[in-house]
Amino acid sequence: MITIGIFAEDKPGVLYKIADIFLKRKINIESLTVSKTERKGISRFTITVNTDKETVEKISKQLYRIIEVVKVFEAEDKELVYSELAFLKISATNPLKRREIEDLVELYNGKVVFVDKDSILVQKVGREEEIDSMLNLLKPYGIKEVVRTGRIAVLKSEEKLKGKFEKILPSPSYVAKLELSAIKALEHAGRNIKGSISLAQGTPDFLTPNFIKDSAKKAMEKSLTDKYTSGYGIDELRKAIAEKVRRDNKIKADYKNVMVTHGATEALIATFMGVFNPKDEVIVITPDYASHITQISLARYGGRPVFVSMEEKEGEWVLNLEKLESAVNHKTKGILICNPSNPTGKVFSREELKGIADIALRHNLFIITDEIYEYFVFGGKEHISIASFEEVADRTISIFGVSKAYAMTGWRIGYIVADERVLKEVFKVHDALVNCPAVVSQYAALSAIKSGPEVPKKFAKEYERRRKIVVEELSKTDKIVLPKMEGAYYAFPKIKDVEDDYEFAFRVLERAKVAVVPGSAFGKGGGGHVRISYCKSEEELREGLRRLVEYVENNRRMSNYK
Amino acid sequence: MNKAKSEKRKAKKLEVRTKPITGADLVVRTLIRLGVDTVFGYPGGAIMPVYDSLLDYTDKINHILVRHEQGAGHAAEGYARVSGKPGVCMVTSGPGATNLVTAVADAMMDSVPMVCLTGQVPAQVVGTDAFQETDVIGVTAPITKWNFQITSAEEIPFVLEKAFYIAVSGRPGPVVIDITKNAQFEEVEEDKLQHFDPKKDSPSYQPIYEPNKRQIKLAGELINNSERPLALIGHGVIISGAQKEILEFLEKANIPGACTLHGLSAVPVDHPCYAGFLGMHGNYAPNMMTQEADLLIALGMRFDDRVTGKLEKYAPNAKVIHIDIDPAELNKNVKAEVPIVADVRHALQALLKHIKRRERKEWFEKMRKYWKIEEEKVIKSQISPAQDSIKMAEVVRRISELTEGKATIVADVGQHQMIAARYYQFKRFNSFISSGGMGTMGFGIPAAIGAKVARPKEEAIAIVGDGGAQMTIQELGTIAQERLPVKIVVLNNNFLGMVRQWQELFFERRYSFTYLLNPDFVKLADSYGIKAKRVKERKDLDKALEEMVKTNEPYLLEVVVEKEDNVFPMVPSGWPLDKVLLSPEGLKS
Ligand SMILES: Cc1ncc(C[n+]2csc(CCOP(=O)(O)OP(=O)(O)O)c2C)c(N)n1
Repeated sequence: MITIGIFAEDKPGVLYKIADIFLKRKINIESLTVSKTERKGISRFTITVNTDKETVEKISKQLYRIIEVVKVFEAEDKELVYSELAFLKISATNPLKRREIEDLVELYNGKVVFVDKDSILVQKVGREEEIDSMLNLLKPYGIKEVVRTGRIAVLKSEEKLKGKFEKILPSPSYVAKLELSAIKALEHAGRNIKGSISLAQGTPDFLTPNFIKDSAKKAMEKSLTDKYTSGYGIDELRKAIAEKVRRDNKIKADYKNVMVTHGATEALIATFMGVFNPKDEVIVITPDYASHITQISLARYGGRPVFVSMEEKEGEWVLNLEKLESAVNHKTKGILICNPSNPTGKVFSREELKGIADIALRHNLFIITDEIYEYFVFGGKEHISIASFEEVADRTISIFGVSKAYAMTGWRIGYIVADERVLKEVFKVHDALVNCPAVVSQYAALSAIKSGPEVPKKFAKEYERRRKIVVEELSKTDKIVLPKMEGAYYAFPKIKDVEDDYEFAFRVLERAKVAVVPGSAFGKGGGGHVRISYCKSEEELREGLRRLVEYVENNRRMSNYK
Repeated sequence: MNKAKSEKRKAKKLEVRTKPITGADLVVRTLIRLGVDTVFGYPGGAIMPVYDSLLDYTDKINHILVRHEQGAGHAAEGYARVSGKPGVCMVTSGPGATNLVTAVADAMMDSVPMVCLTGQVPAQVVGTDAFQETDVIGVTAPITKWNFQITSAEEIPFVLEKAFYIAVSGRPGPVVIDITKNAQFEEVEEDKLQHFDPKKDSPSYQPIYEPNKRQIKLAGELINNSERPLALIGHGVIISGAQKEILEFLEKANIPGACTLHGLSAVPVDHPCYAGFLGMHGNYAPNMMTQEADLLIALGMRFDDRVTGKLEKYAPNAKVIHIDIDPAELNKNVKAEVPIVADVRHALQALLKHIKRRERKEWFEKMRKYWKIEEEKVIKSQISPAQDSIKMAEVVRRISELTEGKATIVADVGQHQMIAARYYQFKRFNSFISSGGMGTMGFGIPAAIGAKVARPKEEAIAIVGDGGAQMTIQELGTIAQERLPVKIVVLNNNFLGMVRQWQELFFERRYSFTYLLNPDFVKLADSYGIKAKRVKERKDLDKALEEMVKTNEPYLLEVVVEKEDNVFPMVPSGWPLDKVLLSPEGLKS
């Protein structure tokens, strides 16, 4: 007897196709069981046949031809732990015989599971031979009915299951369809490559200023950080934030409009979950930060956002307002803008923001902003918060943070500024997610925000200098086209002749040892581009860019960068 | 023909609609997006919504109306084999779908990428024996690489993308997609639908293209150490587009290479390494050499019984390197010392780095000796016969000369098929198309239609028997309506020749129901408005063939050939290859 184990996608018709392969070779199936496995969407077939090993090998190869089949193994009994379940209904009209039957059942470790006036129902779990021999002994009493499940079997060694599921993603829910951000994937891949330089992740190389750390320490010493605070954050911080947004963002906010969050990331996901229903549509102006896309998909139970891509015109990213408006329909409920934009480095102009505001007003939409890079604008550009336009102040949810402004990415503090009626709803999600933001970080953020815009402005100067380096280095090749960089600290150039930027990014990492993020990760319009973070030290930045330029130059003639 | 390229085929620009559209529209738009430019089909109730949409996209998709669904299937096969793109056909439910079945099975056997869309009754009544309902999924499950029933419009893009991916990737094959009528009527928003990503959405099916490096190294060593190697060139060489690689391989290693039926034209016949055509009616040299070889290098072929003869006696002295993209083919019929799962082109590229040139004078000497024997004993009398009646072989050879070996030859099934394979001197890669695995009579005429549509600039000549011709003769209507300059040569022996040959040799000449009373092919063609001519005597043959090749119109040429001629050499079924017969005399001993 040979046992064949088959793992296959749980789809209609698979059994039919499997059975057909045995039929074609006229092989009788001795037993067959099918059931769910530890993986959602994958079932396991256990089939036993009485034929030679060679034939079984051929059969299992053909089983692989069935598109839905993932893994097949063949095993002899000695390689398996196996068993089946049988129900035997024995005639027992004579009460004297009952006792004998029960003894026999006992002997075989069976179980009497039901008795009536003329029969006994026995349940037996065991190997086929055990069941057969028990059956033989019971025969004289009169067998009325036998039901057997057929064999189920487990391999003793894992060896034959190698590679079983390596091609299958875990799929507990729609979450499995979401991608882990390409930024993280590359950062991760980069770590495994010796001597590689990462221009992938946007973590500034600055350290948190000491005065901020000191105030955190002080708060700890005073035991201010030992207990939960209000989920909205401590009042002093909320007030400082309100003042900051009135001064720097021209948003007419009171501390009641402020909620402190676990970084801008939490602020965004809480907002999406707080204001959108799964069927609502959210328009995302792309290319856009990949996590936004994931966050919206999560809030929409896996439904994707609706993308409106900007157009690259004469070295500038331009938003086509008509196109934006035409994406609005009765299901649309909000527009997300990242300003200054990650990854394009675009800073939206007053006209563009006005246009967006008008559309939101006309169609009654929320506006959600991610303004984490608010202080980093260059070449005389001005950062405008859309919530400063009074007509849309009530429908705008503005999100900021101290991570980039004060080099505090590790402290995880962000904040939301919004109309109280909206904030109340977002708070419910926030409360469920984090209860309250880490208190020690709140005190650190407090001293940061109270110190005013000097620190971020100093950083901005330094970024502006590095921005020049990017222009300088990338202009050494005509294979890379760099659009204007107005803000944030990202360059988002197009690499000529690159079709598959994912493949390109991985190849650059492998061959040139520099990590950049493939543009496709940022949604529609990002294809063929890569994102470069220039918040790195000058030395690293120059070397990383040099490697990139050298790589594209060396591969000029190879269209797909093999 | 380049597979990687055809897979990467960029979607044609087609703006995505944000307003709801019908499933039928979506089917057509998805086809266009997937690069489909030609559909062979036949309408009917259950597919009418899609047909209605087709009318709006006639600038992007060329629909060719056949005369019978089997014709659509074979035409799609011809199209696919010439272009390397999946052939697409579209038919209605019930009889439409069952008429297509032969062609689907044919494509399965010959690894032809094909996507067949069949209409189906509305999902609500599936399973109730509704009018024109057939369980198409059940019927085609054993003869498709994959099949699927679409019951709602939102599945359309995902499933069609998956279908095309499966059809062309790995070992190509036919995919049947059954679309219920309600799904064709349903309205959906195109931009909201899910798309298929082969990396993520196909957990189980992941074809392997790259060979295992260690196996390649081993193969290289075997080749370098071999004194009498023989490469067996199969369909895989053509499918993978290894046009350059195969020649480089044979030349660099200095190895003779023989072609299977579907491997023909992979190597030009005048190439010094070309050893000939393998199998039952193949050339003498490669069959004899197989038995003497110390190494067989099987490239994208599957050791069909028509190639191996008696398995137990096959290649007794040879080690075997077997390269195929389908793992199920390895060790299926012939045990391989070095099995390699890979795309042949990729494998050859890898192998090229490991092989060294080696003189094999004696081995090539032997090959030429065997060729001489066949020339003397078989070929001469076939192409320049002494008797009056015309032989199939001389017709084929004349066509070969007139077209300089560069036409696409589409053969039907029978004696004429073997003769075409043997006597046409192929000089152009991927120029021989025929039904191999199934041996489907009736394949020739419709497949030639598909081949012509795919490569309109190149001559497509169908070589068919009087029996097979009549199985799909109605497609003359398609040729006429499309004004396709397909050339058809009917080699008329008034017999089901191949069967008659077997009756003569193995059934004591008892001709049981193999004689045919034929129509007047010339008049028949004429009734469709197709130019036609009949040749009965050798003196008229050249002129007629020249006229046929010269015209830029559909043309049917009937050549009345010797009635009871036989194809030789022959390895009778179940005989070892070295017992190949050069004439019927051999049978007596
Ligand atoms: C559909 C189908 N039916 C039957 C056969 C069996 N068969 C193989 S060859 C052949 C004879 C073909 O006769 P014809 O088309 O006149 O060609 P010839 O052999 O005379 O060249 C037959 C009947 C087949 N291959 N396909």
